[in-house]
Amino acid sequence: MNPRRFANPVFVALDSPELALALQLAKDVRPYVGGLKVGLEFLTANGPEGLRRVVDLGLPVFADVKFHDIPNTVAGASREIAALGVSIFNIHAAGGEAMMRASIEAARSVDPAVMVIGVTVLTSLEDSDLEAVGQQGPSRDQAQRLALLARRAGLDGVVCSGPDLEDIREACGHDFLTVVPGIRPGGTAAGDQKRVMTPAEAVRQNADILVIGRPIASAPNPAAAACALAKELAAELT
Amino acid sequence: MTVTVKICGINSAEVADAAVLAGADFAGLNLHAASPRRLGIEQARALADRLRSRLRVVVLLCDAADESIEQAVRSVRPDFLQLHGGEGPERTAQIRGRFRVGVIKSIAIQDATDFATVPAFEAVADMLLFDAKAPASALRPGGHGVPFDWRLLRGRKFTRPWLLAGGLDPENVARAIASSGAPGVDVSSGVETLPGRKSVELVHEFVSRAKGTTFASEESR
Repeated sequence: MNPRRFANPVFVALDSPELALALQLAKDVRPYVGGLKVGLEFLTANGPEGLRRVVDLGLPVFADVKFHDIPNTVAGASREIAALGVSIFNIHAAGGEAMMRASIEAARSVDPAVMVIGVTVLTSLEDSDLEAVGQQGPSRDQAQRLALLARRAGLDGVVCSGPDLEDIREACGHDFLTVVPGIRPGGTAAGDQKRVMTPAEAVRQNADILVIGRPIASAPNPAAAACALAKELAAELT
Repeated sequence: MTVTVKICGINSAEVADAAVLAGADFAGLNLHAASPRRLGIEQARALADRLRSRLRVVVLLCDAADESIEQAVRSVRPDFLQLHGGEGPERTAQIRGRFRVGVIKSIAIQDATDFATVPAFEAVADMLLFDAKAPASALRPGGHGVPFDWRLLRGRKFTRPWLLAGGLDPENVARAIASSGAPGVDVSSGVETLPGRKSVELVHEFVSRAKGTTFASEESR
């Protein structure tokens, strides 16, 4: 078994466009989380200055930017995001191997330690949606296909749904990071069909990073919610 | 950005795991024959598989021939090769091009004149590592635990990311970062209790001291 990259796998999503609110949430939960995640809403509202403020808090930062463009453009963007001091950022594996390689090379030229993660199939896409955009489903197969491509291109890992964890591990091995979004403590399900997965289950299946948003951010006391989750997972990890 | 940390000369699964858990960014696996931390190729491969994607895997070589580099790259699949011998800029460029792998070039420093070769290496390496010049009697070019004057680096600007090496340990690393302005540090013998025997506790201590230096403002919040 490979060692865990993050002793605490929880990255809290700072999804607010309000810088002050995002920073307050980050400071509140800082002792109880492994890292912070910022997405397009935050970045569009607050720009590189806002991101720098988050990086300065001293926790690893995952920039969920999902770059997807021609290799040159993605290389340029990757260099810039790495220069801002994030520890992890992501790109769409569907952008192709050349794009992924260009991204890695550019990002490492400014920060050799930065981790580049692939996005496979957006969790919002059903099998029928994939077909509509001309991709070959089922989505589970497409996710695995793109994960293998990402691995071949030299990415550090992929974003993957809880139910796909086992598949991805089997296909890509234990030296490939898995970042799992949208997991809810207590296992409250979004839809009726989807398999429910709790943070503890995801950790048991060796997820490296769990991105958790609303269950912490919208809790009456985010620090208490993050602390409870950290305790639950610590019990799982020992 | 926090200071990046490379733990060099990792030679056991226990120490590999400690480097990951402590939050180090690079793990050095030594394939150079004259080192007490030298690994066999199979051992290096197993450690790399354990470390890959957790942190950056670096394989250390000194003036190696293409065949040995080929074997190391194919078996160990490192993120970087650290060229720790007398490879010049041309050889460095050749290795980087031929094996399609990132290259860290180590440059031995004793005084300010030793920076003369740096621009040529900046053009061909992905990263630089400034190490203390080995004593004239030494059989291997690094890992002697002897520091150089860190102030020589202060204020210098390099076009590549770089690491400070040479005689660092948990006690002096914060001072070394402050004196040199280094964005990253490399340690080997400074986290060992005996030559070649790394201590899990010292690895943790070193990483937290190195990374802690940029968090000073946070603690006083």
